Amino acid sequence: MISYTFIQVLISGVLLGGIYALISIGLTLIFGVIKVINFAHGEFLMLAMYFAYWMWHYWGVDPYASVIVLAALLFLIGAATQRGIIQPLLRSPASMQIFATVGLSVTLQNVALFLWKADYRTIQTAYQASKITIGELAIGYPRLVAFVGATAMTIIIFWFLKNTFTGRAIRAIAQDRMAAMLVGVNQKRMYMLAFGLGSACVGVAGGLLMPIYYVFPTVGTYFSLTAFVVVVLGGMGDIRGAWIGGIIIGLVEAISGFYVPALKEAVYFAIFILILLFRPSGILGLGRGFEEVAQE
Amino acid sequence: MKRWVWSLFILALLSALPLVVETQFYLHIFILTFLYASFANSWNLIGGYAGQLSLGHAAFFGIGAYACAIGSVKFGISPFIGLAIGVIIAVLVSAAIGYPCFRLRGPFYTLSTIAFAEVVRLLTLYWRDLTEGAVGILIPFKPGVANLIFSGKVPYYYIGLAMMALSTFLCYHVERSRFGYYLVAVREDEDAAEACGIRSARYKLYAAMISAAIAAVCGVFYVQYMLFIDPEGVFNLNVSIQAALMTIIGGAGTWLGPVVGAALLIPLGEFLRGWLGGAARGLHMAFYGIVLIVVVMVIPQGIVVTVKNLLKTKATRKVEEERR
Amino acid sequence: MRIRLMSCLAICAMVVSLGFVGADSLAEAAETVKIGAIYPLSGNLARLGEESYRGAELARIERNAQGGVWGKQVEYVVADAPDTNAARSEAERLITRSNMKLLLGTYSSSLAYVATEVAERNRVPFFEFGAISDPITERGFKYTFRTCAPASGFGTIAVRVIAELAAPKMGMTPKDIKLAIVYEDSLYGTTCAKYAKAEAERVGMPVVANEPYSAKTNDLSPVILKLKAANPDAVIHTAYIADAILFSRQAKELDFDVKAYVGQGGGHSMLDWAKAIGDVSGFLNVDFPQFKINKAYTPGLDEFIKLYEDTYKEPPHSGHSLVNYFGAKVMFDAMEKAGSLDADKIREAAISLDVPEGQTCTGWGVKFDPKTGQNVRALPYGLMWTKDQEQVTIYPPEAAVAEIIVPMPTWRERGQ
Repeated sequence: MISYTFIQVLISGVLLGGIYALISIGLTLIFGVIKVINFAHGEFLMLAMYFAYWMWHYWGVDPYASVIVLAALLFLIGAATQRGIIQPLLRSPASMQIFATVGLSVTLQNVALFLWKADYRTIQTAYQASKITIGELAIGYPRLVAFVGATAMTIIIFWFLKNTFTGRAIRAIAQDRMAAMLVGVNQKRMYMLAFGLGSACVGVAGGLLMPIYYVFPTVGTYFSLTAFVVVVLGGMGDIRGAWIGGIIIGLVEAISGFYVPALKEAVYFAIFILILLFRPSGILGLGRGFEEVAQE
Repeated sequence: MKRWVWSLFILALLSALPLVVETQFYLHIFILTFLYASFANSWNLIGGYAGQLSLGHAAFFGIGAYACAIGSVKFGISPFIGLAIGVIIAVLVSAAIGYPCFRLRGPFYTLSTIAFAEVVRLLTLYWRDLTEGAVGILIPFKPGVANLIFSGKVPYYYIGLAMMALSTFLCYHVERSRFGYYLVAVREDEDAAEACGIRSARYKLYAAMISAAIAAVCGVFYVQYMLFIDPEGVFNLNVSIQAALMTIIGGAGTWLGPVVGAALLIPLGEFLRGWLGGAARGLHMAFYGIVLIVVVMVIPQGIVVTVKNLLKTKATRKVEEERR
Repeated sequence: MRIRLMSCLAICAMVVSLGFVGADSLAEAAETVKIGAIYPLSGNLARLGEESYRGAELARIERNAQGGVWGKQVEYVVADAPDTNAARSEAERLITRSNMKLLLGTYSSSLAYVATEVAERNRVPFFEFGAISDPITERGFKYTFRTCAPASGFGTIAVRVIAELAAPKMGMTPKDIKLAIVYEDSLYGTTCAKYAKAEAERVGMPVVANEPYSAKTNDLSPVILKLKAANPDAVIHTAYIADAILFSRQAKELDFDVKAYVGQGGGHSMLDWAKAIGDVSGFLNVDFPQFKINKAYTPGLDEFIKLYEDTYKEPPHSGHSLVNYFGAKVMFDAMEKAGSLDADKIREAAISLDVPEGQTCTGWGVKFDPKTGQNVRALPYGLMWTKDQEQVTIYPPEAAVAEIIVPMPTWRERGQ
């Protein structure tokens, strides 16, 4: 009995980790390349979820089917943000970039509140409550899809960065902005591409999360703090690290949620602070530590 | 010396204001402005001069407020002692958390402050026996100097004014002291400052401790004025953002910046809500967000520096150009 | 020189903005009676804040059509209070700048804490129509009156529904029923759960699990697994909307079934929740009166619904409008009786009101406790969701229109 419950806790944790990974990959990609923490990342997720909702509501589009459109929409929004807000601030101190994205986050939240009100919107699908049962264990289908989606996305992005010409250019500019520009990498275009890609990831996440959760103007804040934790844990800019970090935080949350429910957030924030202090380059040690960031 | 004359004149003007203003609501807005100006001053020390972008300043504000509220409600301690305890705890905590965190730079530091404030908020929720958790603490309304609770607005007005004047004076003084120059040097280039023999970690720590102390005092004032405190109200990320927002809009790293920022944003916020309010839900906050983006992009030094530059006479400009 | 200009700028900013507001405080015609209304009309509380305001507004429209109070028309001066800081500012503004002698509001308990405190200090009577936290009326305030049921009533009724309605049908006594209490850990959940626990202890119902969680969580499976391990017969759950949806969806995933499941208003009263879950038949709930109730017990309810639909061109979203409508009517009666807006006269008049249960649109009676200002004849109702996603009243028996279904269908029986 105990062991069954414990295994179920572990399963829930891994599935939750998949959701966190899904949201964090985009954030870590943006950070890794442009060295900007997008505090409006959660709001981008909120927008993606709203778009998924409206497409379902008006045209009956299944959220899984809308993923491609969402990715494209969010790519545009991300690229526009980079071009309009981040690019002009590249030479400003980090604090100014942070504040610009905080401003964007506040604006988006409240514009959403104005346009769509504080209602909690959910969609209904046939597969929503279906699950795979193995003996007494249950794996919810939408959560499994999210997990698989996160894993696939990690592999695709990783492959893209490693093996395509554009991907290599992005990595080059991430490693050394000046040197890459000297050998002819178009910095503006690569940054827009990277920011757009990172946002497109969150667009995909929006579609995959809609059958599980609900959308309302401040839904982003439910996820964004966790996403920061995951990204730092995995190492800033490390795609695989984000996936592993997501799973770890999911497990930590599920296990501490079972044994010390009232303190579960405190537990992972404490882990977060410890990681920041003792291993800022993340668990794999492949992320960018603050020494590198400070050089920019 | 003229600066002193004018400062005193304005102080005198503000001191005389309650004699003419009868509407309590206006006094209320002034009190809020004083409170937030002081809080922004506290943020300015660490975020402006030292350049450490903290988004967890609400933690110290809340620690001060909770220490005082718990002391007076649960243990019957005078709020004056509560104030002292709150300040001591805030300073100790800021030292304990600042010492390791100051090694972090840029976004890493900001993230750590957010996480820290979250931990404080979660612990407040968790220690229910002490803090009443999410329910919050109601301070019984027993007016009297000993309780630091007054039935009218005027005493709060003068205490708030004094708080703002003192904290501004402190910033002014810091700006012109060796300590202040060290902080600015660390902000501009930490490695260079270290190379010049400035122990950056130590001075950042001092700044953080002074800053936490002021924030805790503001927290105490807040709770004695509101007579109600809950974790949502004081530990919210928005509280921290507001302190930084006012400072940056006014002018981070200038002694007048936070005051100007608060004097603009607080009345504006109150009246925007009154006018737009229910008719345009959320719009006044969206407006804040847009103002923040625009300020950061157009006048990143803030209003004070920008206006200063505009006011420079042709002659000064010429001299400066020649100097380049 | 520069500094002077700087400082002038700061002062000017303040003075100019003050000048702006001065303009709109011109005296109005003396033939209206003005009352300040504080509701959260923006921000996260706006949804039900707006619904609450509509109720109070309808009562005003109706009253004015019938000739108003003392033959004068009634007018609200509306203020938006999305958070406690704003609630304080707006209460100050209404009382000291707009010279309101009477306030009403607020829907949310933390807003009510702050707003009533300002009113009490200024000796201005405050009628609270919708906030349920008990301490609001436990502070010995002379001029705070609450017309609606407090949180303690929610916890109590939830346990009574299980003990008095569900237990006999299951062939059990309250002492055999293993109860689990789950709640979100903010003000609302904590208070309701506390009273549910107290009432369970009073009737001797064993509490096998007592689980708080944060409403901002992304995953409730640990809580559900813990509950599953405790194997309760009945659950009392206090939740906002997001966590209510998440809980039900994950309970379905993990096949967590109980014989009786009682929500405590909040998320479990919302159509958004029912829509997200689909088949919600048999779910129990405790809340303010809803519209499927014994009409003989609630005279005037149909008129209210008609008035609402005529005015807003849509059916009421929730019972919040109804209780605010009820509250405002009670307040007008007190005003009429007092003859003026003098604080002590209003207080005297309010205390002297005496209406038994079953004669108003909510079924609630009116009798204010002179010590606390709480209406002692208001208790929430036991409700049950139907297949058509409607809530029908099941408790108390005089107001009931349906019989409880226990044990409720399991998730498997509900199918997809």
